[in-house]
Amino acid sequence: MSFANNAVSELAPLAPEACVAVGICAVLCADLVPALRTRTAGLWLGVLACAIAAVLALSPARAIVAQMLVIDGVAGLVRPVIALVTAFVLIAGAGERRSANDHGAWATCVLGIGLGAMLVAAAANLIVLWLGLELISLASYALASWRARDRRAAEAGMKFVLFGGAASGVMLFGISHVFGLTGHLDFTGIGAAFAQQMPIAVLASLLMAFVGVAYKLTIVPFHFYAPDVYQGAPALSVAAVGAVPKLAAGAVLLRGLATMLPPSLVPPASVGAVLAVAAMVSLGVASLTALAQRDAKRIVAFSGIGHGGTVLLAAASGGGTAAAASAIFYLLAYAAANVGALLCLSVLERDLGSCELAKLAGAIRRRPWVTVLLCLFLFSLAGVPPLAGFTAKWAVLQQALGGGPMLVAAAFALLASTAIFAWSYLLIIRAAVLAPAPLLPRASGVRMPLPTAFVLLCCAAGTIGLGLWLDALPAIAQVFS
Amino acid sequence: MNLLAWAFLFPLPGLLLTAFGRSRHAGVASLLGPIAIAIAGLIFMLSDHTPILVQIDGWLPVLPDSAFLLRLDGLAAVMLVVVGGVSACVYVYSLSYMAGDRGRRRFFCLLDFFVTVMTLLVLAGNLVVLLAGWAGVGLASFLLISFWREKSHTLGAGLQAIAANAIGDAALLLAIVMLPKGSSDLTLLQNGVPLVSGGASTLATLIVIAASAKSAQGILYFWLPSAMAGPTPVSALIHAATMVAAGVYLLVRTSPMLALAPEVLHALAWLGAITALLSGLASLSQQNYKRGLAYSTCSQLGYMFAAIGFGAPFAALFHLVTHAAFKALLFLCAGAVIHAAHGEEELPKLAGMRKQLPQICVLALIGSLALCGLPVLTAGAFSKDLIIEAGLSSSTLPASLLVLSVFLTGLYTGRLYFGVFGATTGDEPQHDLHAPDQLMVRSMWPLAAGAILLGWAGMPLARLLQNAPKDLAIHAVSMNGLLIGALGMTGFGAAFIWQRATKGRARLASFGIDWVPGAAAASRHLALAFAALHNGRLGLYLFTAVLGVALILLMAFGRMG
Repeated sequence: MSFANNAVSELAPLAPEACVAVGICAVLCADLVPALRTRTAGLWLGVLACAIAAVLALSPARAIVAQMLVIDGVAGLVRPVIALVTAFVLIAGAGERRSANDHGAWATCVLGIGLGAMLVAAAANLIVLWLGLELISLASYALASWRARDRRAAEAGMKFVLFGGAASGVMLFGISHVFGLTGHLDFTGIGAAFAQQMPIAVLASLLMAFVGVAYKLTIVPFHFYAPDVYQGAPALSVAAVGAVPKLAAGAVLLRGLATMLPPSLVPPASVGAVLAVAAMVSLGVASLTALAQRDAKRIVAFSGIGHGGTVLLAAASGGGTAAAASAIFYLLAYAAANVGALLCLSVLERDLGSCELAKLAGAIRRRPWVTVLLCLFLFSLAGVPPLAGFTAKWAVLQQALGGGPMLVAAAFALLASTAIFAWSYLLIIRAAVLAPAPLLPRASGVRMPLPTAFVLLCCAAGTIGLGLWLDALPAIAQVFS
Repeated sequence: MNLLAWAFLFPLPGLLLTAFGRSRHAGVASLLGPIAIAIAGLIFMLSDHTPILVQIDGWLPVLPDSAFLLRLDGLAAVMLVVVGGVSACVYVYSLSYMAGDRGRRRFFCLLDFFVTVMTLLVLAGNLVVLLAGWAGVGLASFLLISFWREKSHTLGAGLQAIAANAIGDAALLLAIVMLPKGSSDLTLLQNGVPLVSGGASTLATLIVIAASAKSAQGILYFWLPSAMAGPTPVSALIHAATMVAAGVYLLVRTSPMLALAPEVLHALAWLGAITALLSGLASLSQQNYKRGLAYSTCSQLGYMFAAIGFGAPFAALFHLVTHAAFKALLFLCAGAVIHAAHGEEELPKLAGMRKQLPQICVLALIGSLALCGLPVLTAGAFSKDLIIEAGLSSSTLPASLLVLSVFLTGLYTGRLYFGVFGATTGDEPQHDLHAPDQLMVRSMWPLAAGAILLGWAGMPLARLLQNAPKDLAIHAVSMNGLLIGALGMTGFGAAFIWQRATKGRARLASFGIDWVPGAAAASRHLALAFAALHNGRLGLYLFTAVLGVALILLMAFGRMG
């Protein structure tokens, strides 16, 4: 009995993950009952599981589980958020996918992403990290090519699989070298071994091992799948594929930088400069490419690449809690605005047939409130005060400006790319609000589904609230320290 | 008295009444706001001039300067009177000008919003509050430029304004980030020492960039001529009298700090002088009446920038005040002419208006003479003279450019004036005129009075300001002043002869350093090149990714080795 007791007490910190896993099983079981299959019951089961997981994950207890997973400040904050965002995506699914008859399967995939992301967010071991990322990827592949008859979706899914496979391969290659060189797979062990001797090979293999993380954060040049997937997949699925893994990847990146590098390399020292360069490239490529896009979802995809670069910049600004807080705050602000924007686009996509800019004309007439909210979310992504995006950019800027010359250069790149991105967002707003349109009837017959409206309002509240809750950053830093 | 510092809230009742009221005369209620603001400024001027401070601590704790600070002092009071006074005239004018417009209610709501944020900008006691107003007027400007959505290029013009303004906002934002904790003042100084460790020059440069974006100086001029796509009352209020002067206001506000960065001041003098000269030349090549006036605004704002560069912020402020009166007047006249000609803005088609619009002709003459600087009689002469005197005594070369611009000012003003109101040659198209009503004309007379009389306001103005020179000699009839005035009038006369000779079609061959289309094309090409990288070919994707890994590794090796 004592062995069982020990096991339970050791595994207790993983209750949220277990809860989501049980949720997945429950959804699958519910899917076996013909009466429930066509209803949204599976979705709501998933929502329930995520909600319980979020509550469980709120516990302030800190723990290390078998050198595999660690519930530190970052994980303690990010895991409930991941559970919450997953729940929101599922709720929105109940509204947006009413007419579908594959709720169980869809919910399983979304929950899979949520579970994988929670594991990644808490990962303290390269193998767990890899497994978590694979779990996210497998579920994402399915979501990306959900509309199997759509050629674009099928192609996006195929590219996603191949590209993801390549990233995973590079990552495993790096992990095997790390293990060969240091004899460890857990972060602290690697850190200890790395501190004693500093062969360049260890750093190189660590960088390769983190390619998978960069891939989920959509850092250039590991971003190529994003635009195609965003364009091909339904907007709501994109919310799950895009925002949730970014939260997890940001968290594990911060932990990796803080625990595995010897003090002489911890950002903002030399590794910081390397990351700052990568961030600059991401910001530059994404902002400029977004200008040439003619599809709102592709613009949002490139915006995601830019935001990934910004998170990387925040992580590069320092090993301290302030930089980590700014990175996580940035991700929270991004998640709220990104899920909201994609949900708005999902509604418009359903109404107007596509998210191409040309097709969005007249959206304001047809769906006035959704379009207004879309503008709100885009403003937040663009960094307009007093929305969350502004406060978050501000925090990152402040961190980066305090660093070395490379970081200051990256801060200026952030400013410039913000301006260029603003233009792309304005293109969407122009198409939806200002462009002359064929007189579309107001969508009075098709009422806004209640779950969708609920999630939209929650995202809007988050976007405004995080912008106005000015003590957020110190509060997050407090959690981390 | 503390209430006066909250003057930016005064237009809100009018805004709500206009937005939700059911009156058939939408916009009348809005008139209360500007009048109240002007009165607030006047009350302060008549009081004992003790600055009124409002401080709410812990407003934005994340910021280095966390207080919400309002400050009403002499400088702010002058700006309040300018903003309130010009707005009141423009509001009355708009009641007639926009009478038949379907979006009239929206128009007045936007104007109210503009007046609110502009007043907030003026009353700001620290950089953060200033930035709120600063970004707000940029937004209001965009919304009003793009007011007529059904017209084809209004949106592009509005977006140009947004783009230029964004540069200024970013510069101010950087300045705020750089400020250390606990610096709660707009002078950006503490005991006479610049707050930023890098010395005053970094901070001063950022302030100058912000100001030149707002005031359309240097290479950031491009948005102002395009902004003329908006309704003409908007051009008069926002793009001539008040918002574009916000950059000058910011420079005047921070002039003690700027004074610690002499190299920045020197560059500022050159920036202003060159802008004044080149935009004067550009005005001569405009076919569009309002664009001609817009370049003139750029040029006059250049004078104000140069004045600050010469270390004479008072002269800049003085010119700001007089310019607000006569340039708003000129724009309102232009609006009346364009209104009468059913929206026609091209100069050749507007010729011969003197007979049909005699009152407007007189008003426009007053405005034009003030712009040229007819000595003693008009306000423009006093303030321009003060700037040039300051320049001649500090840095001669930019000042001589300004003297040259005085002649140009006369020339382009005359070209526009005689082009519209000059003698007819008989072959002009006959207008089926839509004559302005009395309300419109009456709303212009206060501005005309300002264009004549404000020159004598120099001394009282100087007494209001803390750092104005106390021994200021505002010569009505100094030798230099007379010479400069004569130069301006020569230009005006030359334009008369030029128009005569060309039968009212005087125009310089196209002139302008238009870098914007080139930059736009370049960024489009760059965007397309990057987009071509995302062409869907998986092989290319994987190759780039692997190349990226290799590059990152190389970089890491370089850093370590």
